[in-house]
Amino acid sequence: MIESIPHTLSTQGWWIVSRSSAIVAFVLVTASVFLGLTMASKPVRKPNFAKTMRALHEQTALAALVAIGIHVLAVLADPWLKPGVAGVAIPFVLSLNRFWNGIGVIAAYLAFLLGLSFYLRQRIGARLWRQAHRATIAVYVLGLFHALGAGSDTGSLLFLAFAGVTAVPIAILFVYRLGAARRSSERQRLAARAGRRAPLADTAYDTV
Amino acid sequence: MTTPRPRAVVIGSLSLFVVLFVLLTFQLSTSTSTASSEHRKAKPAIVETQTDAAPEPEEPEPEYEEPEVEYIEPEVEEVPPVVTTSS
Repeated sequence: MIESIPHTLSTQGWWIVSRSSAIVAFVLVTASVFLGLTMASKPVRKPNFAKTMRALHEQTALAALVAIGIHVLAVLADPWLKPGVAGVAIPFVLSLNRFWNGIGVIAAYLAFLLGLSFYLRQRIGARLWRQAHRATIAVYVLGLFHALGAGSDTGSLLFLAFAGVTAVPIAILFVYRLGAARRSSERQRLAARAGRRAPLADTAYDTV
Repeated sequence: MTTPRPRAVVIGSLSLFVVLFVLLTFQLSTSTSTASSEHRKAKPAIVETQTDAAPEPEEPEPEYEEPEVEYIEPEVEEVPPVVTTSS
């Protein structure tokens, strides 16, 4: 078996890199979305907690973008697959698993667009950025379906267990977040009608 | 609670990547010794198009035979004409 390792690496090295980086990217996107939704649901109202969560959320998001970039480059370099630049850059062009790989390309674009928009929020405005940032859940959902439909390791019990265990709390937190956002906007509308400002406590964490 | 340093996330991600890389390399190395490798198992669609399979011989199409229909003349019952007499 040891003798065949150099041969495996020379023939399937890029495929191994793309699989490894894809799993790392999925774990990091899951962690980042989970942290973001947890921050937004405000389980602990302490400034230090919010600061720590925000730092972890940002770091995992940036690491996920790096992992997605490595995954795309490794797929591009795979000598067996030969997807071409169009295959990895334009959705639904790659013939292998066309639909599932297509949504993977869309998920990657959304990840970069929404992730890096954090650094442009002063230009685009905090309100618009916050509204756009809520769509980040789409990156997770599209990434999950891309992994399940086109991934080489989605048959493994470990991956399915991880995806299942993390999907449930993320779905619950997302539904809670939607309800909280609706309640918050309702309060602000009532406060505006009453001629006073909404309590700042609800908007202090609103970076997600 | 102190703010976590980015190093922790970077080291964690890199460690996961290295572990996965080593595991997958070993997994594929063991499977290459067997007849069917994982690579081919995972991507069957392109393997099929890459192999130059010999064309299958065409089976002769069965000739169409028109079914013979026997013409049966309908039986017509003769009815005698009714004669009415006026008194």
